[in-house]
Amino acid sequence: MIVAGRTLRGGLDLRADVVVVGTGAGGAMMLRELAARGVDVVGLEMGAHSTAVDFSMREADMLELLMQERGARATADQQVRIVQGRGVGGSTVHNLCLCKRTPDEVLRHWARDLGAARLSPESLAPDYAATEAELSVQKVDAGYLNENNRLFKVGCDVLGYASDYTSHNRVGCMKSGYCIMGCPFDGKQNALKVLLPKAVAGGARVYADARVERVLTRRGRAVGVSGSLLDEAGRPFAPLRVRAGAVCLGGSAVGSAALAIQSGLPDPSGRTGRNLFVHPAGAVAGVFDQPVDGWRGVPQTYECTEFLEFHPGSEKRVWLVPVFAHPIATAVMTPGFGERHAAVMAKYRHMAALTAVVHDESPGRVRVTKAGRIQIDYALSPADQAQLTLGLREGARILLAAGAREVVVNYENDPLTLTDPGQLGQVDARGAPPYELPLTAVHPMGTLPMSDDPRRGVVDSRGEHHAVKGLFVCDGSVFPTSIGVPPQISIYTVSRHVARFVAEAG
Amino acid sequence: MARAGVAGVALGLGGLTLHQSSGYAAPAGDALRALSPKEFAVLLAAGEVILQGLDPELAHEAARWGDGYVARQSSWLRREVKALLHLFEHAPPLLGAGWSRATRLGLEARSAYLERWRASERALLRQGYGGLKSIVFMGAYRDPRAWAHCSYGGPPEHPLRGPR
Ligand SMILES: Cc1cc2nc3c(=O)[nH]c(=O)nc-3n(C[C@H](O)[C@H](O)[C@H](O)COP(=O)(O)OP(=O)(O)OC[C@H]3O[C@@H](n4cnc5c(N)ncnc54)[C@H](O)[C@@H]3O)c2cc1C
Repeated sequence: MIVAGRTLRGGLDLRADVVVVGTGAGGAMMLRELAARGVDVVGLEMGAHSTAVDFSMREADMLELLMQERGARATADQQVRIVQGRGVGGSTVHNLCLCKRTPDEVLRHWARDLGAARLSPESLAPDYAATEAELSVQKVDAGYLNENNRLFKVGCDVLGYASDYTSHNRVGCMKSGYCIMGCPFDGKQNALKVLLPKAVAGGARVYADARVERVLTRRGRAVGVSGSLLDEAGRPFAPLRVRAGAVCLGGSAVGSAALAIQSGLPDPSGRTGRNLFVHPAGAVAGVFDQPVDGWRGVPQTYECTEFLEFHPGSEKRVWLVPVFAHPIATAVMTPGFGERHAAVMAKYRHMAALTAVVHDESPGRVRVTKAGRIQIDYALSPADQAQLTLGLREGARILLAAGAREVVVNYENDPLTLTDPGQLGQVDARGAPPYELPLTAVHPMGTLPMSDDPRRGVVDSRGEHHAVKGLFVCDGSVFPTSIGVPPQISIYTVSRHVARFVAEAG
Repeated sequence: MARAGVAGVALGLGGLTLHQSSGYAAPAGDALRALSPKEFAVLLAAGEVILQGLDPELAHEAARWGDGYVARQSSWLRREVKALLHLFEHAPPLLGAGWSRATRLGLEARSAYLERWRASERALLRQGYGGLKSIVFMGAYRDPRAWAHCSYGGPPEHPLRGPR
């Protein structure tokens, strides 16, 4: 059973072989793996335990229920909106189910150049295959294309751009289009639906509303965690403590790094929290004569990889994929306010949109302020701005090729409207300067990077901290660089890999 | 940095914000949960400008919802939003938008004032603009009256709950 911490008025004091912090992609796979190996494991999740019946498909309510900081998380300068999950199942509850392995070039670079020896394509391949089988990952076909994705495909086909259907972890999908608010039809084969029930059936004890605030150490060894149980409003009301032979962090690249920092853990490489990549993304919208109703149907079933290459130093680092936002997110991201804004929103039904996602090289940083707040610093380097510009321009080209009457690039000061491919140079001229474009990032990673070289990594390629024995990390924090593709399947897989070593330590 | 800045600047306005809290009528209906009558009036005034072109009642709805949203936020974010509202109310003179409070500016002047925040060189004001815009649009576009404006069909029937 998954216990709601809010009901435990007397607090929580437990012992276990292993305690896992967070129940998202990394944490849930760790819990499932350890339980299957007969390890006595406890999982602690700061957010609530919500299930299909709670996923109301109401945008504002679901932002509050499922997202960190009730949907208000952003970089300190508010330039990039950082969307992350909070709750049992983590970000896998509201993600879009796209599954794509980390490309071999990236894994080879990690193994060969960055000291993550155990993450070579060859060593991870069996774990990838097992994860994909467990989560029912399948390539979708034309039957899954909604109008937004179909138009994107038309544009790619007209231009001859490298493009293809994507793979997803969904079974019994009703194509409602509300994936981003949690699936009320329970079609997602994610941490919440697949892994945590198995973990619990295998004996794992999982607690929601349980926020870890400190990793406890003794003589250079992790010995447990402490924190607070949270009430319905998210306020602490009772203490929690779990003593364990090993601790595993699965709180995401933001949450785990923040926990390491606020616990005052040693940081010999000086990299804790510093190596943050986020896949910053900007959107382009096209207005079509016919209704698109882009919120209906399965999102992100088609992708364009024409401008995405993975060798280090690549000048093509942008992934193009259809995207569609419900009215609140669209209104917030649309520049301006008042009558002009309302006029844009009136075209909502006729809009198709896509996002240009940068395989970024600009490292940001997670910090914790004196008051205990998480602060995220992130700015695009000029090279990454150039990649974003490339993506916006080519995204606009795709929409025009698909027959858009006009294409809008959402510059805050004077949005750019294009009606003809001959005008695309205007995107290059405007570029992607700071604060000019509403940016979103949904893939934080890299803040506790893996390397067997303690000067380069916070954890080794078994996932164990270089300076704190018995402390492991199993989430997106461990990626040494950006991966350039959606990360969930890689996080599940790396967690499966790390679990072997955690089981030995616990 | 910048978030803390909003509170800092509002405190810098000092006596101004503290002394001028009277004269704001509490909204009719349910009691406010996080905002004072003054803060509610400022959010409403901002909403009236931001939501021009939509059903005029939505500004009130957005301010109501915004009050609840702020109440559910962490204490530091609550402080920041309140500070932002005070700053918005009292900064027209600082931005050359007249000697009036924001809530007393006419719609057109208030719109021009908000535009100064949007286009400001100062990150603090731009961020404040972004914060107001987010709260107001969240509050408005959760409402079927705003869905009608953008022809959004709304969610299907919930398979486990039926229609709401
Ligand atoms: C809108 C959106 C769409 C996405 N779509 C896709 C997609 O289609 N494909 C894809 O591959 N990826 C997608 N992603 C990204 C993917 O879901 C994440 O990269 C992945 O889930 C991250 O796994 P994680 O284990 O690192 O963290 P998470 O899954 O975020 O889980 C971390 C969990 O830890 C909890 N936690 C944090 N700190 C603490 C603490 N101190 N104490 C207790 N609990 C804590 C959090 O509440 C959270 O539940 C999407 C993300 C978003 C936001």
